[in-house]
Amino acid sequence: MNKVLEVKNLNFTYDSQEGKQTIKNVSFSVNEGEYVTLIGHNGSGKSTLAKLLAYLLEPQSGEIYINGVLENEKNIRKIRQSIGVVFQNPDNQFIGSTVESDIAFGLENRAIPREKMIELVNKYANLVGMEKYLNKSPEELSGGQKQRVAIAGILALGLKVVIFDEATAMLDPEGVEDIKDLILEMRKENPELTFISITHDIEEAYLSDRVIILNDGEIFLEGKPEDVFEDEKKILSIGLDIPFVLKLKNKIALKGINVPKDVRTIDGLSEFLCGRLKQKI
Amino acid sequence: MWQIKTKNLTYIYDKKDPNHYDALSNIDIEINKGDFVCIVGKTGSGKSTLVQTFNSLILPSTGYTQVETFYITSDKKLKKELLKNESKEVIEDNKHVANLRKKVGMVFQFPEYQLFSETILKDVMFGPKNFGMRDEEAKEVAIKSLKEVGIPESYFERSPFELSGGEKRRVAIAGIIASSPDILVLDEPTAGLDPNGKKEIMALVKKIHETGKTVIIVTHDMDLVLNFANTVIVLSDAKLVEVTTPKELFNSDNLNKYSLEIPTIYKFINLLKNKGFAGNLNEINDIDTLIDRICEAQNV
Amino acid sequence: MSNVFGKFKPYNTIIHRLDPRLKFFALIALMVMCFLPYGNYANRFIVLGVLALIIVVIMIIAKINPVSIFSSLKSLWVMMIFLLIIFVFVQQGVDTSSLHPMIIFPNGYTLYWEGLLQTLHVFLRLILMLCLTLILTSTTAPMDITYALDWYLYPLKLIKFPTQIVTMIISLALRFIPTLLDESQKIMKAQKSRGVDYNRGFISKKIKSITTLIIPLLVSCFSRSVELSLAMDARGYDPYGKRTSYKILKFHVRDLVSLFVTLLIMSLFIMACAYSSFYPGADNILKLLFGVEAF
Repeated sequence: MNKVLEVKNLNFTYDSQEGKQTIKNVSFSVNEGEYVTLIGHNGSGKSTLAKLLAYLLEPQSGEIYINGVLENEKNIRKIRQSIGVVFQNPDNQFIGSTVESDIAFGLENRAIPREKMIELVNKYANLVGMEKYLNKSPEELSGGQKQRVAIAGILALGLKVVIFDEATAMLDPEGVEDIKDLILEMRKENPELTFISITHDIEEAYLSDRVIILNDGEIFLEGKPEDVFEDEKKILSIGLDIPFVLKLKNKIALKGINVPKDVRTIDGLSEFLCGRLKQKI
Repeated sequence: MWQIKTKNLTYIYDKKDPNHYDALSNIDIEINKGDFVCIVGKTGSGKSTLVQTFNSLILPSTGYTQVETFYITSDKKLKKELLKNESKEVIEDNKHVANLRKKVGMVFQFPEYQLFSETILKDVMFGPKNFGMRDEEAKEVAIKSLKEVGIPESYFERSPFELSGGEKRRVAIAGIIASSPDILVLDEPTAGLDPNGKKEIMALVKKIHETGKTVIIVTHDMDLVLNFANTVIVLSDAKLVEVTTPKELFNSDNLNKYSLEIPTIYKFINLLKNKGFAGNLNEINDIDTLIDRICEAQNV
Repeated sequence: MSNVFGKFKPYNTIIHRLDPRLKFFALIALMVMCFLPYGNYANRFIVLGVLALIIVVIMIIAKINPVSIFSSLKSLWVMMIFLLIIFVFVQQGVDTSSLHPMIIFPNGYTLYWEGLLQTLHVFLRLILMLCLTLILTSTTAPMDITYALDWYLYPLKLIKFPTQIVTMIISLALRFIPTLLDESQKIMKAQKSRGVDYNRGFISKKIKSITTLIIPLLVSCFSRSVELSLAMDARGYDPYGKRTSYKILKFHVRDLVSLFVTLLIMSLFIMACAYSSFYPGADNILKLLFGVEAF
């Protein structure tokens, strides 16, 4: 597997918080096309880590390689061409005055010729389903639509890695579903694209390829979701919850019904339970 | 006995604009004293507008909202009519909107944005002082409500801007309950918080409700509705569509119709039903009952 | 909020479609025309009247209600009264011999017709300028105004002045006006719920009320700008870097025609101005044109 992102012994402390280290000796790597979720309670350092990965902050020590390139001031152009971030607040990342000019913003920064730009704007507006809103200003859009535009603006840059920094936290349920569906769709469309999602949504984490749990700036657990969430007590001890399906599975396991490990969705679980019942009859 | 009532309440948004539309249309509801009410509906259904009429931040275009003996409407003729048979004290009381706002505490979405004072204590004292309390009195109630929301005394003289997101929100809520309102309205109180923060805020709201106050929450979070509310008001496209209990709402098939999110447990039950699960799946409202029923059906 | 004065309304009239650079130029040109010296009052009113007529016609074409300016800007009337007091009651210079007395008080204090005329004159200029600005802002998307500005700043680029930074700042400010207006409404509602009354109270209390709005608004502005700068940084914005532009302005035939018309109007007014200053003794334009004796 091709490692698209590699983090080695990362350490970071904010200037304003003397003595309190936000990121402590974090190392991990992400493969191309992987969908990794990064979870942890508020203050665990996950948003800081996101900013470090995208080189919006500079670590005090440690190294990050994006697509084989070391992240430092000299390589900043290459970094920006490889990794992008969708932030939490839909309003504060809408830079252009209209949908099309916002999607074009990153392209303008890269001095892409106008004809090519128009082509890309249209292509990615289509991809996120905003082609009918090209001339709309941000006040006329819902939160979910603004996030779609932000995603289009980032994808148009042809990146390797996209970070979602709690991108759905400020949306209503409809917006959340909208963005989740869009991510699934994009992964299907472009399997090489790597997603790192920073989230509070353990259900989302449970369905991702890999989960990294951060606690007090350190990696607490890392691995496949079915393994990471296995130790219920350990998860609960750092103030996180366990996914609904796993909760159900654990409870019925106590009564003697063992559900296979790879059943992770309510769909799968209901299928299993109904199937089991039929077998019995 | 009702404490808040709306009668034929209609609110026209941007009345002067040619593109005006009804944000609320002909709403009749009654909310009882001591209730824990959740108002749900998708974005744009009018739920935030509705609660803002409760303390006169928005005036109904036609019809009225009534909070105990306070009448809220922009229709002057109607107000006169309504006040005709009331006593002198009530008429006098109706002249001062501050009397209403003291009674109905309103916590907006992201209330941390209303903090402005140099110290946390001063910020919490601000409301009570506006409603006519003397300094010492205001200080007393401020300390009491800060303790109630779980802000330690060592924080009192700090700037509110040094706090974390969840703490700021608790201070903001303390600022509202310090004026000891009878009715507490919260607009999306858990928005943007992590699971722990949500639990803390809701435990706090529950505690406030237990002191006998009426609590009204506007929310998208159906788990919150399921776990806390005793009455749900459902709005859809500016209209009142249902007043019911959470259990009835979630056990009916109407949720999809109003494009509301279904709590995961009900989604799961529906899936089981659709796949022909041979067991009794009615009236299940928590995980443990669900487990029992599953085991029952599987004979374990 | 939707009725903010001069807010861009996306109709599709010829005025809307004109090149923003041209509109910008015409705005400045006509504003200057308001302020050229046209000699005596009769001349001034005739010239401003013609200008007003032109402006009203443009407003009607652009679907702006010309009367709306009076209803939406109530403070205009306050201004009018203020001007009236200044010009009518304050003596007009030392030499009053050439003035026409309106009312003479028993103690010899005199109010002159000229004071009234001056008020009207200044007021008319003011309204015309407001109308002109209104036409520009309500027919041109804020972003287009920025593009036009960027174009006019081009000469500064030659002396290595970072014009693109200036225009970026302006466009971001324009972009966030609606967001911040919305935010201030929310904060005001929250503070009203805490018993703040923004309409009543004495000055000291009012100042206190305003701080309850300003401080939270500033705090949120700062946090927004931090997030905005991160978002811009993440998308590779470099203020000094070379950028291409997604939006380009095209000069159409209609723009050329409009430019010609603007220049024509300008030259007419300049002629009127020249006539009245070259022949200071001459009566007025009315007499020149129609042989009528006025005022």
